[in-house]
Formats: sequence, C-alpha cells, structure tokens
Amino acid sequence: MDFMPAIVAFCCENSAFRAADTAGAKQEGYPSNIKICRLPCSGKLEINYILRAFEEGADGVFIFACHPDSCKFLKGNVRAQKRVEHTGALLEKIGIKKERLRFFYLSELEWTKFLDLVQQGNESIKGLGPCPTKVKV
Amino acid sequence: MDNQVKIGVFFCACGHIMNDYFDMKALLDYAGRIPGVTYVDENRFLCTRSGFDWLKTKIANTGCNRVIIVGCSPHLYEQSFMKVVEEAGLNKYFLSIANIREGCAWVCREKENLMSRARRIIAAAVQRVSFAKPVEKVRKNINRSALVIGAGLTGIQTALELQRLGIKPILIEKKTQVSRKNPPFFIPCIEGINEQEMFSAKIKELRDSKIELLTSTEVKEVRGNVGSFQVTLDTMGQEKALEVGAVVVSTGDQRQAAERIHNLPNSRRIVSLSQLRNMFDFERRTLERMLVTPDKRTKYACFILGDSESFTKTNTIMALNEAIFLKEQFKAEIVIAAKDITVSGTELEPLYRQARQKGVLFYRYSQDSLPEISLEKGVIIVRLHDPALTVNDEEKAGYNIAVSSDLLILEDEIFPHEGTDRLKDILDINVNQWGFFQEKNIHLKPNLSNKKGIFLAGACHGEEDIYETLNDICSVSMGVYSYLSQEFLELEKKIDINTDKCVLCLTCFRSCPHRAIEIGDVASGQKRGAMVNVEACQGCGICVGECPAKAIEMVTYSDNQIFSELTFEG
Repeated sequence: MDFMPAIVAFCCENSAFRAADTAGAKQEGYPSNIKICRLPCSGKLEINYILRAFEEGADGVFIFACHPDSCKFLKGNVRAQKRVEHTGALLEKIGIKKERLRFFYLSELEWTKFLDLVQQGNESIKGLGPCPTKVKV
Repeated sequence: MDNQVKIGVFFCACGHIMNDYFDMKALLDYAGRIPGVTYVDENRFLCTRSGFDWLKTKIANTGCNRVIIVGCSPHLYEQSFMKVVEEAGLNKYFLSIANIREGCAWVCREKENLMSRARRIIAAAVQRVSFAKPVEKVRKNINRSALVIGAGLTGIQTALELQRLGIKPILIEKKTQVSRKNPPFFIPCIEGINEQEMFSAKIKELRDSKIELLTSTEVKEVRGNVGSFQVTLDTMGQEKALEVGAVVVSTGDQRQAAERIHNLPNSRRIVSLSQLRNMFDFERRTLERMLVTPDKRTKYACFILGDSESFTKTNTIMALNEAIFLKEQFKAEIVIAAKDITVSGTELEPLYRQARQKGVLFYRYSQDSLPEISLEKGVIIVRLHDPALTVNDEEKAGYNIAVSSDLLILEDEIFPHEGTDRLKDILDINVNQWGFFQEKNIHLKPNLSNKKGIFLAGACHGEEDIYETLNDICSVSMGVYSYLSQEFLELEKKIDINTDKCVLCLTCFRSCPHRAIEIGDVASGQKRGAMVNVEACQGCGICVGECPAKAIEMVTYSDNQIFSELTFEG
C-alpha cells in the first residue's frame, strides 16, 4: 500500500482556516491525511506544538499564516515565521529534515492556492518518506 | 458544584446530506463509547430555530455540562450555538464543533478514509471540550463621551456627527483658534463650492451646536481603556482631568515643499503647491502681479509633477484643481509636465477631463530625462523632452520643449503632523514606517488603531483626499457609536497569567500588539508581575506563544486542547 503521510496543518482562524473551509465547501477534495488545527492567530503557534505533532507521529507539519502586513494582530505572522525557522533548525539537529516543516502565507480567499499547497506539500512529504523519529505507529 | 464532565454529542444530519456520506449509526455508536460522553443524539436540522430549542431542552434534560455539535464548519453557526449553550446555562466556551461536513465529508475522495477521519475529528472535539475551562466575563461601565484631537475639518465634522448620534464630543485644538489646517483640506473643483465659505459654515455650525471646544490645548496623559479613558489635558500650563469613552485622532498631515525646491535658484516665482494655495488665500495681489499684466502678453504657469521620489495622489488632484483655477481666474496659459497623470481618486478623471477642456496643456516626460529648470535673465525656463510628441522624422521620436514660465509650481511632500511622534507615546499606539499612525488592519479595520477605543480619522493615518476623509468620518463616528451606545461593555478574560511563574522578562509586554499587558503589583500577593488588561486584550495569543516561562495561558486555546487535536489515533 502507498505510504500515507500524517500531516498537521496549523491554520490561522482569520485566513487559512477559512480558506480550508471554503476549499471543503467547494467539494474539490484535498488529501484526507491532513489534519487541520485551528489557531486564533499564527502568532499563537508555539515551538512545542510543532515538536508535539512530530512526537505524536506526524510526518510533516504545515503552518499557514496571513500574508505579511495583513495580520489582524499586526505582526503575528512574522513572529510565527521566525519561530518556524528556529524550529526547523532544531529539527535538523535531532535528525528530522527541515523540509518536513513548511511555512506558507495564505489569505482567506485563496482557497485554490490552499488546495495546491496541500497537494504539493503532501507529495513532497510522501517523497521524504516516513519521519525517522516516528515513535507511535 | 458537580465537577464531573458530562459531554453531550449532538449530531446534525443537515437534512440528509450527512447520511449520504457517513454511516451515521456507526458514528453515533462510536461517539457514545468515548469516555466522558454521557449523551448522544441526532437531529435533522440543528441550525433552525426548532433545532436550537431542541438542543436547549436536551441540554437541560440530560444534564450535560459540555456540548459538542457534529455538523458543519464553525464559521457558519458557532456564534449561534454559543448563544444557545449560554442560554442553556453553560459557559459558551464549553462548546466545541466537530466539523465533519466541510472538514471531512466534502474533503475525502476516498470512501474508506471518510469514517476514520470523521471519528478522529469527533474524538479531538471530545478531548478538546473536556479540557475546556470557563471564560470569565467582566462587565464595565461606559462613559458616553469622546475626545476628538485636532479641530480641522475632519475633527469638527466628526464631533458634529458624534453629537448627532448622542455621544458628547470634546474637541481640542493645539492652535490658539480653529482655523483651516495649513495647508488646507482640499475639495476638487466643483462649480459653486467655495472652500473658505464652506469651512466658515462648519465653524458656525460648531459654535451653534455648543460642542465643548478647547483651543491651545494638548493632550498630556491618557490612561485606561475603551469605555473609560482618563485624560489629562494641558491648556497653556493649566491641567484638566476628564474621562472619556473613546478617543478620535484627527491630527492630519503636514505638507512641505519637496527637497528639490531648495536646489533651484531662489526666486519668488518658484513655489510649491501648498505655497500656491496660501497665495490664493492671502497674497492674491502678488499672484495677480505675476500672472496678469497690462501689456496683455500671455503669461505661463508651469506645474511639474512626479519628479520627486514620493509621488502622491493629492498632489495630482491639487495640481489639476489649481490649474483650472489659474486658468479661469487669471486667464493664464497652464502647462502641466508630468511623468504620468495617475488616476487614483474619486472625481479625478472628470477633473482631468475638465482641465483638458479648459485648455490646460499636458506634456509628458520620461524617467531618463527629467525637466531641467534654469533661471535666465529673470525668466524661468523649463526644458523637457516629451517622448510622445513626434516630428516628421519618425525615427527620432520625441520633441524638446522649452517653456518660459512666469510661475513654476512644484510638488509637496507629505509628512505626518509634527505632533504625531509625541502623541503616539501618549496614546500608546503604533505608527507605520512613514511615521503615520498605523491602522489595526489596513483592509478590514482601516480606522481603528491597534488599541481598542482609539480611532483614526483623516490624513493622520496616511495621505487622503476629501472623499476618503468623508468616508473616514462616517466610519469613525459609527465605530465610536457602536462601542459607546452599549449599556455596558461585556468583556471576556481569555488570557490567564500565572504570576508565580512570571519572571518579569517583559517579553509579553513588548510583543503585545495591543499594549494590553501591564506590569505592576498583582493584587493577590506582593510579587510584581505581568497583568492582562481585559479591555485592551483582543485574544490573539501572541503573548502566550512568546512567554519563555510559560506563565501565560490562553483559556480558549490551552496547550492541552491543542495537543488533543494532534493525535493520529482513532
């Protein structure tokens, strides 16, 4: 059977969460192995959320934030991006490729882009194979 | 109180949609077997009035203290369901929505994954809701008055609008008297409107309305939050304290002759747009002497637009307007040299057409050859190369033009008003990279500052033409009204700080976009620590993410709740 990666997508409820909703409502379909996790702002994302996701057996983690300068809370998205970059470096140290952690900017209306991104992201994580640190199967 | 968690899971069949995708019976069975779930039921339409009533009675009868709705996206009916749950006597955050329609049924292409995904979503919701904590509500009284800073047209009009809405405005002005802002606000040339008269009429209306107006007054200190700002005003050394519910900033902008004008030969005949406007009002004679002579020689006035770095739209509007004015009043020949006439404002296109019809000449120059200005025997010569004009020889496109002009008008540069820098510290709000006040969200909330209850009207948050300003005035007065017309403010305490863990590193204080964190003595103990100001907090959770000591918790999105959504079992 094909390898189905487990992916967590952290979505800002002001943009990507709505985009995901619209994408769902359009009935276009996207990979069902992507788990959507709602955040009040991407700035709320903590490093241990990402690490916990990998611990729980995720093969990839995506973070969707609002576009630069469009954050409802001014700079939450930029903070998230910095945190993601930092976490990427941490992951490399423990042997998880930082390509497994991806950061995207997305607006509420870009549901087609959301579909493309999760589709591509899913493919690329598939290419990387199962996460080496997967404890739980 | 009975602390045992009793979760009620309510399925919405959404007519018959859900049955098409899922084996609803199996899902109901599954939900019933999850530990903590005490009641499971299904309704055809939960989102109807009868559905809400059904839900309310079910909650009351079964004694559930946590509610899960399994149905469509939270964006559609979360607010309504929250209201129902609240009416049923529970805290509204004891509700979780498992989105199996947009999040599952319409997502999965593969039928075999459908059920497992739905099960996972329901399990996560159950986990989430069992970790839910009640969100405290805080009620606060509202002071129904507003402070309007800056009595220009925007300030006066806002104050008038507010009074009309039943809010008591207090208008303050730094200058000794209310005058037209220098340079003045600006209306495109509409026949029959005299700007000066219009402003005088506004001032008269202000006097008649008995709005409290304090001149020579500055803001010295502002404390507190929406509903009750404690303001200290400074009128020439005399301090006055008052309480207002909201603050409107309408300090406007400031125009200055562009840098380029200083590099040109010093001549009275080279002016900037704002200087020209001033001459219209106060030195009309000088202007007449420059442009009207007894010998009937045609006099030329030349505008140069778009040569400075900071191109602005009001400059274009102003130049077109003044060109028509000069043409009509002084019968002068007008030349406008521009890199590009940019149409970016309401009424700008008709204005341009009007200028053309009146016989204003437009020349275009390119970036490579900017117009050269020289003073030859007391005459200003403008030399430019118009690439659009062609001579017979088609290979040599473009044509050199020299205009000897009696009056040369250059662009203004636009800056925030000089007091902006001080005011931003007093009000504790942000400014953008150009020094103007920063809007909360330029697309969604263009008139709110980053602090609740402080509004931005007019050109203080960026260059604006009169139409935008009028829009601003309306939306600001409605914004103030929507806050202050309530009986009391009902606020939710979404952020909880554990003072024992707080090490006073000030990270949250610095990172809060709404300046909602205060440092001080926490009432319960002697320890100093960070505290959340509920009125200012908007619940983004940035402080929670930033806190290195993990002392801050967001009640509606606690770590456990987020972790519960990350599991892949089920």
